[in-house]
Order: sequence, then structure tokens, then C-alpha cells
Amino acid sequence: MTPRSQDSLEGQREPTFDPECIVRPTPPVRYPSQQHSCQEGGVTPCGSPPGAVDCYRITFEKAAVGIAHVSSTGQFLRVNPWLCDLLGYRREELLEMTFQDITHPDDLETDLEYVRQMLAKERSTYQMEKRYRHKNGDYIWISLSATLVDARESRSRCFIAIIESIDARKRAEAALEESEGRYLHLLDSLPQKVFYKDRAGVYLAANRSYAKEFGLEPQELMGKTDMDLYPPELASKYQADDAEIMKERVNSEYEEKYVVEGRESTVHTVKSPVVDHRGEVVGVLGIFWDITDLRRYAEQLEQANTSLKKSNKELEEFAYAVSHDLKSPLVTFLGFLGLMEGQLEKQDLAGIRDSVDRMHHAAGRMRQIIDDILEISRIGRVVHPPEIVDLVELVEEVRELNAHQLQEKSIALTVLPDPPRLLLDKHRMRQVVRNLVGNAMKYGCEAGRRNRIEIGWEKTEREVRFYVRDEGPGIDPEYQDKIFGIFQRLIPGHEGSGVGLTIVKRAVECQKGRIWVESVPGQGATFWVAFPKRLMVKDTS
Amino acid sequence: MDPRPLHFLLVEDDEDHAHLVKVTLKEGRIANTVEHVYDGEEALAYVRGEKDYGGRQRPDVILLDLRLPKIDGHQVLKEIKEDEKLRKIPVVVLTSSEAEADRSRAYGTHANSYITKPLDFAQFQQMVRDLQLYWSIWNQPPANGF
Repeated sequence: MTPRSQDSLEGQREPTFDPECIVRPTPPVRYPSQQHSCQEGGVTPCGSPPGAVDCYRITFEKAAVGIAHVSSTGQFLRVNPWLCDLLGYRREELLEMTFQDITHPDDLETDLEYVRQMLAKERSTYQMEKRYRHKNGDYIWISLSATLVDARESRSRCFIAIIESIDARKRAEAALEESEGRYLHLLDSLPQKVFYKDRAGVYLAANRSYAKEFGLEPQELMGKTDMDLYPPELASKYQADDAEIMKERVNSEYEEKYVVEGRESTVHTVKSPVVDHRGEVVGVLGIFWDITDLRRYAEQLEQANTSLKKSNKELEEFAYAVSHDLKSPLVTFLGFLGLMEGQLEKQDLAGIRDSVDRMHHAAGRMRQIIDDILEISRIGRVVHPPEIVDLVELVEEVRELNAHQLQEKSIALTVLPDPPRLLLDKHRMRQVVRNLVGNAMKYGCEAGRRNRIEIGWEKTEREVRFYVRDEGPGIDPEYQDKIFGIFQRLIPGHEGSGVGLTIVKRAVECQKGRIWVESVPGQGATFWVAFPKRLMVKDTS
Repeated sequence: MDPRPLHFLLVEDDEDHAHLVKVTLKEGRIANTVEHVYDGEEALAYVRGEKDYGGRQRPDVILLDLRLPKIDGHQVLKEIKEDEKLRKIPVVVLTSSEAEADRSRAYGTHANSYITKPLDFAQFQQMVRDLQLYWSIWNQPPANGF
């Protein structure tokens, strides 16, 4: 850029300014700063009569804004003290420079474009906010108003530039922007969803997390309502809640259903009315977050708790039953031991024999109880890897094991062919079958008649069910639940420790199965064991 | 004071325990008879004169175990004490259980006494003899019987 072009205001002529301006003698003026350096160099702005010229000059020299005449190439032709002071240059220094020299590089292009437009007569003035570089190297914000004085008005074309400092305002704006940006950043960093709706339910603000729910940018949510975002019934609910909050002017919290893009979840929402400086409710501010997992954990915890309580109660009952049942044979043992002393004195050999037998028996019972307790404690604790369990195979094992008794009581043990095969703990299932068949032989069969124990199966929609059916006296409905409890014996005098069915029940339940009994007194009993169908092995043949 | 002869109803599913009680009662100096039933259902049938128990002698004292087949001792006690015609019969709970739950439940349904079977046989005998003396000599029944 050429510093001094011919197309300048250098040569002067009559100004077009108001000639009536009256100049009065004025006291010496203090310029914006003491150290400024452009008091001297009294350049006459235009070649006007002394009075008017003085008037213009004083205006030029003493205005509390920066005024400059700038050539069309950007050369400063005249500058007033205020501008010198603002930029920290002495007048002579500035007059050696162009505005391009001190304009911030980022603002230069815009500025030059305006200059171009003015020179092309596309506009006659322009205003812009831009940065000048102070002599000390700092950039300062100014507001520039430029007017073209063309050749008809002046000997050559030049610009009149009026420059105001807006640095303080800009700094304040920047600080505000930074502060707003910080809050915005804070809001956008929140994983919780935050929104602000006006009285009509129109979104005025939302954070990034909320907008993301709909795959939108926060500003894209503006102007939408819940009706645009949610299924109608949910949107209606939200609107009703909002109306209530604005009416009652209270904060509200909800745990509510939330559906977005077809995905359903549960959220915790906190909504508050927004009140303006006049005290009027102008909208609703809300924040919400997903609690689906939290809810699920709570439910799981509740379930675990219930199951723990149940297990605690079982343990208590178990301890009670064990202590009672262990004590009972001990009473017998010590009792007959005591009796035996008298019998020894009397040389009552038959009595002694009887006492010894009973003590034997009591000791055997104690031993049995201890074994049973150990066995019960193993179920659910000792887990064998699942194997394919074939009912027929297990029944045949039992048949072999009890061949003698089956023959003695003339029991026909039958199995319905082709039972479904299940993936289960074979060891436990062996216990189940043995106990159920054993029970049926013990309680469901009578000596001196033909007996039948039928083992079969059926499939329901969700389960595979096995049954063991006898034709014995059956079990009164009253006692049908009780028989699975530990150490329960329905028939006095019968052998057994009363844990067989407890073992069966635990073994079945440990494998996600269930067990129950159906019986009409006098018409036999059927014990059912059911397992989920998914345990079934698909027949590959 | 003259001892009165006693008729006991012994409700006990354990044959050995029943034997020990019966032997001790027999050796005692108080004349007595014992009816032994093995479960709660039989006990209720007996006191109500049902089944084959019609016309049987009403017991002066019932010795009741708690863990019984079919109907447990607590239920038997409750039904007896809820029955206007039966509730005066003294019921002595005789059990191996020392559980507080059993004791408070038994007294809650108006058991007349609660005794834990002593493990030691000498104590067991002493307990049975004391029972006899108490209900035969010291305790005064109403004039028309229980």
C-alpha cells in the first residue's frame, strides 16, 4: 500500500461544514491524557475563514472521540489528540502510518472490503467494531464510523473516521461470554437432562445431554413442545404436570415412565416453576435422570432380602428341629441306661436286652440325623455339573436296589416310556427318584395285596413334569404341605428320620424345579416334580 | 391328704419316651392308669370320645408332646383350650424343646404347665414322680371333676 497517494485531502478548499459556527475564546483544553503528544502541529482542517476554521479546529482538536482524516489508501492525513492518546503514538508517528498498519489482522479484510465498497460508491458510510494495535503492542477495541468525502466535496477523496474506544465494553462482554460459556459448558457436561420450557410448553433451552436423546443439537430443540418429542399420552402427562407446577408454584419430583425413540425407561424428574423479576411464572425448569438400573437393583435387593429372610427362617426352623430331634434319642439313650441299672440289680435279663436294643436304636437314630443334616447341607452347596438325566435309567437303578422289597410287598413298578431327557444334576435326581419311590413303597403299599407304583411324565407349555403315583391310603390335604418340612413324620411308628422329602424338595428347588403332592385320602398319592422346559435336551435322533 | 388315683392321657409319638414315662409312673406310689396315643389327631379323638374312643375315661391330666405327627401339640392344646367342654382338663406340655417360642406359645394357649424332658434319667424319674404327687395330692380339682 502506498502511504501517500495523490488522491488525498492534502490541498484544501472551502469546507461544506456549517459556516455559522461561532468560535469563542476557550480556556486551554486538557486532553484525555497528560502524556499525549499531539497538541502542537496545528493543522487547519480546511481552508476556511479564521473564525469558522477555528471552530472546526477546536472541534477536531478537543472532541472526546478520535477523529482522523484518512486517504483512500489508508494513510492517516490528520489525527486528533484523542486518537493519538488512545493509540499511544505521537501525531507525527501516526501520520507516518496507515490504518492497515495498526489494524488487527483478523479485522483487516472486513475493513478493506468496506473501503472498497465506499470507493466503488456502493455505500457512503460504514460502521464497524474492530481492534487497533496500541503502540505498546496491545490490541484495543474501537468502534469506527467512516464517511467518504468525495472529490466533489473536497479536492481529493478522503475518509473521515470517527473512533470511539469500546474496549471496556468489549472486555465486559468477553467476561460475560466466558461466564455464560462456563455455565453452558457446565450444563452440557451434566449427564442429567436439563430443559427450560415457557408457559406454553415450548422449549426455550436444553442441555446437550437432553438434546442427544433425540439425536439433536440443543438449539434444534428450541421451539418444539413435548407433543413433538413424546408419545401423546406421555406428552399429555408432562404438560399436566407442568401446568400444575406453574399453578401451585411448587417444586415437584416424580419417578415416572419415559419413552424416547421407542425405548422405555424409568426416570427421576425434578421440575420447578421459573419466576421472572415481576414475580410472574414464566415457565418450567426441569432436570431428570435415568433410574431404570437403580430401580432394577432395588428390586433385586428386595428379592435377595426376601429370599434371605426365608432362608433365615428355614435355618431357624432347621436348628430347632435338629436340636429337638437330636435330643430326643439322647433322652431315650440315657433313660434306658438308667433303667438298665435297676434291671441289672434285679438280674432282669429280658429287660436288659430290651434296654440295650432301644439304646442301639436311639444311637442309630442320632447317627442317621447327623448324616441327614450333612446331606441336606450339601444340597445346593455341592453342585455337580449337569448331565443328561434319563428317568428310565434312574428308575431301573431303584428297581435293582429294592428288588427284594418290591417282590416281598408284590409291588409293580412301571414307567411311562420315552420320558423327555433333561439336563440336571444326576446325583441329586437319583436322590429324588430313590426317595420318592422309597416313600411310595413305604407309605403307599401294603403287605398282603397287589401294589402298583406308576412313574410317568407330561409336558405343559412351560414345564416338563414327572410324577410318582401310588395306590396307598393317600395324604390328607391338611398335611400335604407339612410333609416337606424337616423331621416330619405323618405316620407314627414308621421308620425314617423324616428328612427324605426335605432332601427331595431342596434337591428339586436347587435346580429351579418345584415339587408338590396331589392326593385324595383313600385314593393314593401323586408326587409331582416339575422343571422348566428349557432344561430339556432336544432329541437329535 | 389322701392320694387320688389318676388317669393320664399320654400323647407321645416316640415309643421309647412313652415307655420311660409309663415305667416310671407304674413304679410310683400313686395308683394310676395311662392311655397312650401317638399323634395329635388321636389325642383329640380320645378327649372328644370320637372314633373308637367313645365312653373312655376322661383324663385327669394330659401329658402332651409338641412335635407330633398329623396335628402337632400346639394345635391339640389350642383346640382343647378353646373347647368349653374340655378346657378344664389340665394339660402338661412334656417336650424336648426348650425353645422360648414353644414356651410362650404354649402358655399363650393356656397350657397348665410346661416341662422339658430331663436328659438325665434320675431327674426324669424324679420329674414323673413329682408330677404324680402334685396332681394326685396337692392339686385340688373342682368337685365335679375337670
